Amino acid sequence: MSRLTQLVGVIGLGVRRVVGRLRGAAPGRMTVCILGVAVAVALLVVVTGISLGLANSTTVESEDIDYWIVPDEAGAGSVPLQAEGARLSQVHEVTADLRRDDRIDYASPVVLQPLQLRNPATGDQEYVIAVGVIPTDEKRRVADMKISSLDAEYSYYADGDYDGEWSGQFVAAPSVAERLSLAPGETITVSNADRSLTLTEINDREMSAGVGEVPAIAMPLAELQSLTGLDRADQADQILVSTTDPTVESELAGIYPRTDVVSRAGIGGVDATPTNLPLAMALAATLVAGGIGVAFVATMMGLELTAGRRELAVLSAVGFSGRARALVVVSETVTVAVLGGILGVGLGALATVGVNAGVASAIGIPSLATITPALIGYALAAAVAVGVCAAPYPLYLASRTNTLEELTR
Amino acid sequence: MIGAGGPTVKALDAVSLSVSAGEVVGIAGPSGSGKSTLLHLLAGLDTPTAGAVTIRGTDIAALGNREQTRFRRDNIGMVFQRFHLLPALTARENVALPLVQAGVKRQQRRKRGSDLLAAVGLADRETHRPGALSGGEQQRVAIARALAADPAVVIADEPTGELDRDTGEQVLNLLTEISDDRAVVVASHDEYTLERADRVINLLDGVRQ
Repeated sequence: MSRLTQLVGVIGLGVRRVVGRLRGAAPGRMTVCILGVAVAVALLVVVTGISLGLANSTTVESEDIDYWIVPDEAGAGSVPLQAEGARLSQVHEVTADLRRDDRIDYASPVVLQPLQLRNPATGDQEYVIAVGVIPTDEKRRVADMKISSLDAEYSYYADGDYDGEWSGQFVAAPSVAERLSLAPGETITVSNADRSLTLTEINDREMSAGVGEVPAIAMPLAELQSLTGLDRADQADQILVSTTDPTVESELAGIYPRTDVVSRAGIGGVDATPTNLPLAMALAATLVAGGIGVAFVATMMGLELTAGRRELAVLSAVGFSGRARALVVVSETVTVAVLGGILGVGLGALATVGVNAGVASAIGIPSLATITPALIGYALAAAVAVGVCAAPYPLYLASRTNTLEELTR
Repeated sequence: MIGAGGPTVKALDAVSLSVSAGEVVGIAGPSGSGKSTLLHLLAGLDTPTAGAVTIRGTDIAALGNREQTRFRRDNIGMVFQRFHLLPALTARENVALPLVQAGVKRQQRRKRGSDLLAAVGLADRETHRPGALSGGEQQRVAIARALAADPAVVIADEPTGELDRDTGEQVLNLLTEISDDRAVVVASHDEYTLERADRVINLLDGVRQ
């Protein structure tokens, strides 16, 4: 005989009584109580999952989905700065086919190549990452770089060959313009190439990558290919596809063998949600779900206890102390909350799938809410907290139970 | 004296009773005569305004609430007219209920529960819940529960009140059997039940006749 055995036995009695009622002794009120907690916890899981999605995802700031076709050895985590390794070929032809698809808003091969630039007027030199894209009139960014100031006529490749008029246009990140002492309209040269480039616009921010900011310029794809020798097989590192229709994704995967299709909204990894909105949402969800859960469990367990006061009196008659009877009541309340929590996590997971499917079909974001092991643990911990917070009311009712009165009624 | 905020009633007056181990004592009397009050005093569920209730040398009337509960757990088994089994628990779990608070390990509780159910002829009903048992079977489970902690005294309040004659007789046989090494006090207004007692105490308006 030990206190621990006694404690485990008393807590186990509470659990057994709940399970026994659910298995047929008196399932009605207990089932309703568990369902109530389950709904509250499911709400918590979904809203917190959305909050996590908002906090972690780069997809939600844009109505567009950007897919990146990348050679599979490039990996999904290196999209912004993958400049070496396997490349995609015949990219202009493939991109032209993609652009004919009505579901696709914009498509462009992307080349990322290091270039050494020199300002002949000042002698300043700078190594930069050059981002080659097919220009467009639309206000778009690729790798954080605005490309709308580049001539959309794309004259150097206008007839499908690399022999058109050299535009030499480029957009520079602020740091590049500063280090080369460049202003819009001024010209620089590319080391080891007989070509000059003219600055059309200074970008409003630096290109960011996982490791920090990168000195970068954006320029017409074909001209960068020509400067770097990638024009021989019409090669690019990746192909960017912007769409509002997630059904495109499966088709993109089949264009090239051994490629991955990566989904994200911005190549530069711009913070999607700079505010504390996700935290506020998660907090609000916890408070609302917790409040609903506590009120529901306290009320239903109070009713359950009122109907079963005689059973508490029997416990007293067979030698259960007041403290042990209170522990039985707390154990039952927490057990109900935990069972509701487990069911709620399941319901929440289903609801998360539903929310994501609905959001994907409505506004094209493939994954808004997320569910993680940590979130499941959080939800179960919240369920336990609901049980503990709801316990005082049934405990109060239990303390008012008159053993003799109940046994002789 | 019983008041509870209302008019005070003298439920028992100068009742003196001594019960030995191995003895079955019947408490007789009409409704309101004080039978149940006497049993509640013996069980430590109620406290007399004067006098003493001594079991195994301990005056339980002088104990605090907590000590009374502990003493009841270790020394007194109770059988109620309406069985008072916990409906969510199986027969075996109901029998072993007093052992939970006593801190007995689960395996030992299960064995004790099984042994006692076998002793009252319900070995095949271990996993049945009270709702699946007849009235007689429920009362036998209640008697087994009263014996779980091997108490010195078993107190039965109208143990056959809800049972037919045949089933009641089985229950009375059981109560008689368990009195070999303990005191059994049975309150009833049923003559047939009282006939099984070694001696009968008659109460009328709280006074021993």
